[in-house]
Amino acid sequence: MKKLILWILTAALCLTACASALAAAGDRTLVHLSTVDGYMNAYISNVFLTEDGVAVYMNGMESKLVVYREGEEPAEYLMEEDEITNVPDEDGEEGSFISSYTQTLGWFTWQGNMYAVQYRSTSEGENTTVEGGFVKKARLEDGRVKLEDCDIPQLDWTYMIEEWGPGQQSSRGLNRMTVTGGMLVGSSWDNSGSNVLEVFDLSTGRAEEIPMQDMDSIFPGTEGTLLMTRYEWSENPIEYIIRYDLAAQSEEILGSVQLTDGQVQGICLDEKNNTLYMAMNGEIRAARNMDLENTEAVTDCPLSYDANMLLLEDGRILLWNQNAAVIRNPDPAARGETFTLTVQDMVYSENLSDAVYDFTDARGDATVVLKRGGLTSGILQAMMNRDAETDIYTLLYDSSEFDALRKRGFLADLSGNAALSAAADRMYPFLQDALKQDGKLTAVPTGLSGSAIGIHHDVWKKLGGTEEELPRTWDQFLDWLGTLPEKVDGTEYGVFDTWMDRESFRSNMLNILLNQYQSLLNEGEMDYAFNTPLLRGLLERLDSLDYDALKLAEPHYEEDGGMISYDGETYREPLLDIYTDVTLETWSGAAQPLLLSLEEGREPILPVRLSVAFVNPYSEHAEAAAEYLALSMKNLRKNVVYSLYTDQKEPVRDPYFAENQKQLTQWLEEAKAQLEKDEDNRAMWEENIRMYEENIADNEKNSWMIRPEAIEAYEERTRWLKILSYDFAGAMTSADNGGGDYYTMVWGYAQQQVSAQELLSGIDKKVQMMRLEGN
Amino acid sequence: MYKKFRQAWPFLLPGLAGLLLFYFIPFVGGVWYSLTDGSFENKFVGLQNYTTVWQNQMFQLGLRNTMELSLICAPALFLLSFLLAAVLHRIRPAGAFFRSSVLMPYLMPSSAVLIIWLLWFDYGGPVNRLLTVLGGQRVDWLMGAELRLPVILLFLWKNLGFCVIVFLSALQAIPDVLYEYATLEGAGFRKQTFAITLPLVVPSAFLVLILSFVSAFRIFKEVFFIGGAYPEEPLYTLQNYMNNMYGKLNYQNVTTAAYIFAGMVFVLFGVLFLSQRQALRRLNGGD
Repeated sequence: MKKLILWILTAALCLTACASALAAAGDRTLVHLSTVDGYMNAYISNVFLTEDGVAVYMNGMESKLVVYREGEEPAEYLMEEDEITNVPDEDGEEGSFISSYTQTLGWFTWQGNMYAVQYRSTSEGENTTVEGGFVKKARLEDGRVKLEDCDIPQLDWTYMIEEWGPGQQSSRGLNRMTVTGGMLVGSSWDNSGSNVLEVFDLSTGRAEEIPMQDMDSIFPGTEGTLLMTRYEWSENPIEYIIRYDLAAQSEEILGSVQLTDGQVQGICLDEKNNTLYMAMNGEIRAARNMDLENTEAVTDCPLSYDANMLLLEDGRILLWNQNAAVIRNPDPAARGETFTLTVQDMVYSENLSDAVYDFTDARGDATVVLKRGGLTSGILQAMMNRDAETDIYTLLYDSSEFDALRKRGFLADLSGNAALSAAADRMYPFLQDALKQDGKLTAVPTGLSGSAIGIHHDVWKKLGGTEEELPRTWDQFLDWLGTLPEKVDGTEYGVFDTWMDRESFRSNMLNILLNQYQSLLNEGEMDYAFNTPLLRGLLERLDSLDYDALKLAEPHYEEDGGMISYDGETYREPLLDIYTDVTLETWSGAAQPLLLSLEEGREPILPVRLSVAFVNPYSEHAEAAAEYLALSMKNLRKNVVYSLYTDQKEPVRDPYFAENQKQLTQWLEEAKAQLEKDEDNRAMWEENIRMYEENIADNEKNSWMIRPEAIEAYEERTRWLKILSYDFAGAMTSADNGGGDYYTMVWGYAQQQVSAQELLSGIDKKVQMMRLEGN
Repeated sequence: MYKKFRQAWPFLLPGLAGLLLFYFIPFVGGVWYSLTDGSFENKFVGLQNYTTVWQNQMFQLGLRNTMELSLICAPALFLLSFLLAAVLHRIRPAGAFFRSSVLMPYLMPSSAVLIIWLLWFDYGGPVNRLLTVLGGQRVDWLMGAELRLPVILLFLWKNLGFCVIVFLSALQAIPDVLYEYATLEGAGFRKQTFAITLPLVVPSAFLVLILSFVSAFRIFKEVFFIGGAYPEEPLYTLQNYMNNMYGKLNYQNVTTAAYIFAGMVFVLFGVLFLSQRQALRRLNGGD
């Protein structure tokens, strides 16, 4: 008997354990739009529940409604294009038209049906009038959304019309539309910029406007109520969570959150279980029995800023903002065996936040909590405490914290992850050198940037200059700079941008020079000192430039301290640009970095600042963390990808290229056809044809996201790129209680109040102390 | 009081546990840490850190400055507070207001005091104006070695009150009858001072001296507020070194520097303790 009981108990134990292990978390990413391809071609305008699924309304290159039904592929329905009509204005001037434009403002569902709210804007002569509040019922049929008239009366649009001049009207926006107790409610701003609630009775169309001081957001509540968040600004700012009764226009404070603990991204109420869910700090927290003092983290919130939240019938939560719509299961019992991967992103990396979606989709057993910002010194404290709470950190490669972690071996080895290793092997050597330590991969890049003086080669050519005449060293550059005013005199070109002033020029030149010089010092061939004849000499030469001839004026300061550097002089196309990015440029008008070496006989250096992600060596989920980083690498932006990998050689067209080319070709064909028929206007059609042909050629030539020449030029200059490591200025600013002294010196030099000697000896004094202390 | 030592254990245990947990174990742990390389693997390196730290120029600079500042500040604080306490003791009860006032700087937050101090010692501030009125030259008090003076004055001004109170309580604890009896016996001021006042004040004086040194060793907050992590060389203290090493994740150097310094302080306090015993023996008529 005893044995039987034991067997039964064992079987029960196994079953319960397996059940939880096999249970799906129930999380799902419906849509995630990112700029991973370098552009965002759509945004989520609205998400609402249909009878059998979730509908996501997306705007962008095309407007469509995507309906997600459980167990089915998403179904797409194209929206009807906004209605535009042009009718001749019989009372107006000859040839004038009355144009009217009907636009959908938002969507809502009520009693199992989907509805669109529209307004119409009519332009007649110089007057624009608005009518609105048209409610159309939506029918999904044959892959299209068909809007038709319905029983809901026209909504009173009086409060929604803005008068911004005589005869000039526009309609306000209506955000976060929701229906509660037969009322359509949305938030808006009145003429004075204050928050208001717009309430429409769906049975009568009657409208009411309720002022809402300091309201942050509204969320659906139970019948006749709304949930909302409201700030109270004081020394300890608070965000209140409020239940608002629309009929009584009264509010009940459910609780509050200290803003210092984080901002509430969204809320929703599970009335059945008397639980309020809040999205904040990358988590969804449950306040059971509405106890907001003691909330419990139940799952992650991958949305990076505000989140609309809706409780689904099965208890899961639908969250969305402009970029993503996801479903999260807040029931820990139903989630099964899960673990939490915590990411502390100090450098706000887009690819890291995008990877949350991919990772949680790929791993049903994982929850990712992504925290942004925070004190970088906290990482050192965490390492000291062997703290495993955070799995992944990001830092700037040249920060003193990363330098310390790298030198002391506090970076987990990522070489075990095949995807990361393969990715690292494809990178340019200057990156591999920085990311590998003793042959082991210890960090992955999340972004890179660097600035240099840039030259517009086309302008230089137009000025009669040749490649051979371009300077190769800083000394030559400063000499050459002296000759440029004469060269540009009497032409339509300037040496620098018209808005450039002396201070900005000097501070940026100093920054470029110091970074370049530090990269040289980091190579270890020279004594680590800044106050050297080489650097001092260059800075002194910078002092003796003829700024008036270069048209670099003193900045003017307004009474309120604001700076005006552009004095209204006619714009001239510049030859030089002092903020040229040394990584892969993405636009055709970009200048090319000028390759300058610090002195004759040395090679040019283009310093690059790198931000990196790495795994905590004490992490209990090191393998999953590496997997996460591998997914984050897939979410890097196009220009970053091309800046990292040696095998990225294929140019990328602008996303609108094909569409534009198709449109232009169609217009060209139409113009050609007209030319055949319309002999009277032959000249006009010929001109149009010429224009379209030019546009097609221009589009063909310039419509690139990543141009073939840019790839070639970047590949060429990668041998001069050097990752900036241990930036003394960074260390000085972080260690120096805000870095006041350092900035005072640098700014003093930019304003010509501190000499090169004073600046460099000031820097040196501190740098030498840092170096003598050792690491 | 207790018949058996065993009976005392329950009473001693909570205190001993705290001592063990918060002092003894961290102390031993720190010693162990100072013998490792401080990397992720934390390898044992013996006394290598002690050699490295001892030979480090910035450690030496910090140690030298800390010692110099302490040897100026602590005796000055000791003497000034004794003199002030003696004056306040003389003018009692009228000195009640001054006795309370003297403690005020001790209670004020350092950051607030420092702002006032920086204004006072600014190049165009009241101190320099006074100097020029007296026919002197303006001094850049907030730069270079001159910065030491404002820091020392700030330290004295801030800590004087507490030491005065300790001295004053010691002076006030001496029963008046002793002086009356000595007067009747024909003892003069000098005899009374050496035979009554000093022997009874020495234990408190020793405490003040120790506290003065402890405060002087910790002269860092003021320096950090003015000069940051890397102040002018004459003000770079041992705490700057340790603080900066911490920022570089170099915990083994932090602990090593701390133990070297602790050893030196231990020796210094040992000397002070022996001196106190000697002084008491002499004042009590011993050898």
